Amino acid sequence: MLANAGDSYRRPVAIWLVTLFTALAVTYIKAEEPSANTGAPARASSQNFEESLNMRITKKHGNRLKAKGRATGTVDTKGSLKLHLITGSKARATFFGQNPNGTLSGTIAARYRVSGAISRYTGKITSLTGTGRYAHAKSLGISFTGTVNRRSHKVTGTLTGRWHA
Amino acid sequence: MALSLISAAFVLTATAVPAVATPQATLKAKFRPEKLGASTAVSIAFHLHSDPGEAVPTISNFALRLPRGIGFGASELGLATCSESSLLSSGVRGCPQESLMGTGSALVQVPFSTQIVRERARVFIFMARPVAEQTTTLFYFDGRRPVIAPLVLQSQIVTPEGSFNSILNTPVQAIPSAPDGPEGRMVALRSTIGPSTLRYFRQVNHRRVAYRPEGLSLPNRCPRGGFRFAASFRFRDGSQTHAYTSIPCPRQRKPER
Repeated sequence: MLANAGDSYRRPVAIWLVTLFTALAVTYIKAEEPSANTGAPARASSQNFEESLNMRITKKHGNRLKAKGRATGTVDTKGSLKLHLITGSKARATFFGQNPNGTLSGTIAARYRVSGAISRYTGKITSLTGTGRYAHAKSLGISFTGTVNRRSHKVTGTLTGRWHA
Repeated sequence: MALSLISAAFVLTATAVPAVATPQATLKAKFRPEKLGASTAVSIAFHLHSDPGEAVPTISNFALRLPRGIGFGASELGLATCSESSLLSSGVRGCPQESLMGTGSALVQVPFSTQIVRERARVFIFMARPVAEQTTTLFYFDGRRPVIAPLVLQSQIVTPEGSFNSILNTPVQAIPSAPDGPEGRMVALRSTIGPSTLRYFRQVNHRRVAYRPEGLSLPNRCPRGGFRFAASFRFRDGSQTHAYTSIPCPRQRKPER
């Protein structure tokens, strides 16, 4: 009897709590969705990212190369690229760019092949971070293709995809 | 039920294959100079030993696992490419000088009916265009007719998924010998990539100046246990053998007091 009375008291409270948590969860999920879905302008929006790298190798030590130069496109920066040749066909690159609006840095996982003087790299950005105007930078899928001329030490590359600016 | 059938089939297959005398393999490797972070020449040598009176079986594939951090990407070796057809039609002279990456020699046995003829062939290693998006090199065996005809083997650098080591994978085709004669069988190979004698040329003030290209780059840090090489030989009769070697980490010079 007492149990039945307790149940009848608890049930509305439980239903009220479930409703409250559901409402909170829906509000939280909505807030996390990209701004394109809500239609409201957001601080971090999904945009195209296209960048061309034009650099030159300035330092080489063992299986690590360092290049300096310019990146132009979505973000115009002066920057550097550090290339770590992990194996005969795998490489990891870290880049750093800087302009008066802030800094942008990231890591690229790539595969490479050598064809005469040219080494060709293909890969994708695995992490992207920034400061200043690019403090919310995040890769939403940016691919990388690049070449290193082993004779002239010229480095070229393109980064294309989408990012949160 | 299915599992037991597969197991039974495996047992039948395993017992149906006759026992094969697999040769023993030895592998040697050397860096010159042995200096971390510097370019170096890499010498590799293997030798297959069979029991007395038995011929070494024919190799169908040779795979050499390179130590971590070793590759051509940071080197100046193979600034041009050469093709198999150029080598077979014109020999070494058919290739640009800048495509040559290394040299060596190979020992080939040809088991004629009455005796085994041994022939030493010069080996030249060239950079080729990538095949299937993999860095590719060509091993040219400058055989002397009538015992061994010139031969080109294609070697690709592959890195298995999740691995930190590259493999130089070389399928070995039939080694042609005299017309209607038996196939040659490679029993030993000695080669150096980026030897000190290698010279490329560059234009400096309208003059052609010879220089030594930078060889393979050693990583800045020595892997734990040294630079480990492994060779895997697969033979035409289905057998295989492996050989291992390692180059100890170079001693670090203590700062002078």
